[in-house]
Amino acid sequence: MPKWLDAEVVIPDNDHENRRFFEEQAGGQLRLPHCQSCDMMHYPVRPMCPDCRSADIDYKTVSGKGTIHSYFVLTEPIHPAFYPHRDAPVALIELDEQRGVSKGGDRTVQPAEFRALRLVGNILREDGSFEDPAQVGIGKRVQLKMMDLGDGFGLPQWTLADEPPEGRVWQVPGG
Amino acid sequence: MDVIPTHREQEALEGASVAKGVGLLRNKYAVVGIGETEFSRNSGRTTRAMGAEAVRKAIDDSGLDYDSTSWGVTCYAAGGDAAGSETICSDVGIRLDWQADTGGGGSSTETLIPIALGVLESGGCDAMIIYRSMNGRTGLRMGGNAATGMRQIAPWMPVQGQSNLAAGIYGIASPLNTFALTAVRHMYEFGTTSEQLAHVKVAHSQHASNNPKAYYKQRLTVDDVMNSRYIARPFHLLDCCVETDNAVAVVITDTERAKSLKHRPVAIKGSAGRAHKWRPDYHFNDGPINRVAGFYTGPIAFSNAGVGHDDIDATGSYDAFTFTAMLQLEAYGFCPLGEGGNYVSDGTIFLGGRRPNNTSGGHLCETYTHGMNMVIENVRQLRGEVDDYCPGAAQGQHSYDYSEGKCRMLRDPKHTMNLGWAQPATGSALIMTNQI
Repeated sequence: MPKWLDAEVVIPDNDHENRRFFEEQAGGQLRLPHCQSCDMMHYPVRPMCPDCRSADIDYKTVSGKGTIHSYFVLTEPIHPAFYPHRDAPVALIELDEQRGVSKGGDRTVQPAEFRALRLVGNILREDGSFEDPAQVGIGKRVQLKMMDLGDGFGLPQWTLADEPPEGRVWQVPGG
Repeated sequence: MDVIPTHREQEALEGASVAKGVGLLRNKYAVVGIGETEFSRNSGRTTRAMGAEAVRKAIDDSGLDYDSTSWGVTCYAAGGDAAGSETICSDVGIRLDWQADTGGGGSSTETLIPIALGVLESGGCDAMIIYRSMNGRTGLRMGGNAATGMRQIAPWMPVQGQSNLAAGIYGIASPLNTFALTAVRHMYEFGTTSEQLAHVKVAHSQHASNNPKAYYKQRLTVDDVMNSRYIARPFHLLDCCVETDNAVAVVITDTERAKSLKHRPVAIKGSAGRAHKWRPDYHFNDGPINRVAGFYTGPIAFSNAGVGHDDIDATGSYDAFTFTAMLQLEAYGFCPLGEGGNYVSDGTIFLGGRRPNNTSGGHLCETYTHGMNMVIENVRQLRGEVDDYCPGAAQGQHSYDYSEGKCRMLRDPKHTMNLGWAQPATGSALIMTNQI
């Protein structure tokens, strides 16, 4: 049974979309649902493309690079799996490949307002432990760290990238 | 193939709404009865017993006859924690001509109002009861598991309608977690500070100190909020609403009949929602994440009511957290984009200010009912029957001295607006008036 933080990942056999998503990550690269009809990617997984409703969905490999769009510190976790990991950074990462489509539909104008690819994730260290929240900030660059859940599932996670931040870095107060 | 924005998207970007908001039922229906139990943190009672008490009190308050009124009822339960209306109405001894319980949570009251209006208008029944009953402290707590009432201990699973495998697995397991990314982005983009948000708690605590029903009546300072421990940094314990056990109910009927009943009628002038942002089951990919659903709900509600922001004398902006109240007031356009922090900290939302918010103390201080306590408070304000500490309150005489332990009554309010919040991408609104 695939596991994350000592809790099982349970996906019913008839949930093809979710099963496929986690299986697609097992190669170690970030692979996202990609519509063959309108060329947009979407996240999380859905049974059809939310933009054009086509069922013609394949998976596309992306760079695994992005920018922290928002974050907070999980000071008092709710789920017991997080109890050993207080102060875990919970972030929203905007991927380089799809930063929102502008009103006019011109996909060269990004970031813009709709159909972005922003993934919730945790910021980890290279050794897989949760990063110190003092190192995290909006604007910092991150890169994929795929975690092996076992049994053919991968979970996208993130480490801070060795790149200059995008614009100013902003940190939540109290650190 | 180019992605052409849809007609809806363009309308939304231009500030218009999709629904036309024609207000066909403006002022045609009114709140005629309100009722609530004690607000506690250990009710020692079932949601059934509390629900029956609140419903009975609301019917008594309305003056409508138990036996000869054609009744409808709707109740909302977040995750099934409330006793159902078939049971409650059997307990209270009324026969129903219309009944439909709904799943719900925040924003439900303001959403069930337009449902009620539709049922009443189509002749399904003559009076509608809406109630909420919950043991939000001793029973099912927010962040809890519906089946067991316990904190989430489930494995990571795809949950219908929720992105547990895209959010829960990363630590997002409570309303505060769910909303925090939105609020932090507002701090980042517009410079909103924790101190500004703390003023929401300060204001509501001052209001609660003049409310005999409020669970927490102590007046708090900005320092009190800032010194309270972090729950999810940067948000503090005192940024969070209370958890309580209670039940609340309202009764609605047509305004013409309302004029012959016990209290001054409080008419429903306009409503909207629940309206949503795009892809509300995981809303982070569409629209600025710090712009909440009020952006869409507001134009519908104001258009249905035929009023503007300046007509609204008091708001009931949902305060699950200090920042939810702020984000909504801004999204609805009560202040310019980005100025929500200023709006909630410059005195406007305090009693005596330009447009007080949650004059009973709201969720942050009075009690937690998924929004119904703020609707009831605005009904009391518009009736002129606020239960504060003024010696003449029972006779409708108020001092308008808003210092501690004194008055909570607004001066001659005409319109109120409740802003109901489910999550950043989902909200509802209700505009009421006594001008009929």
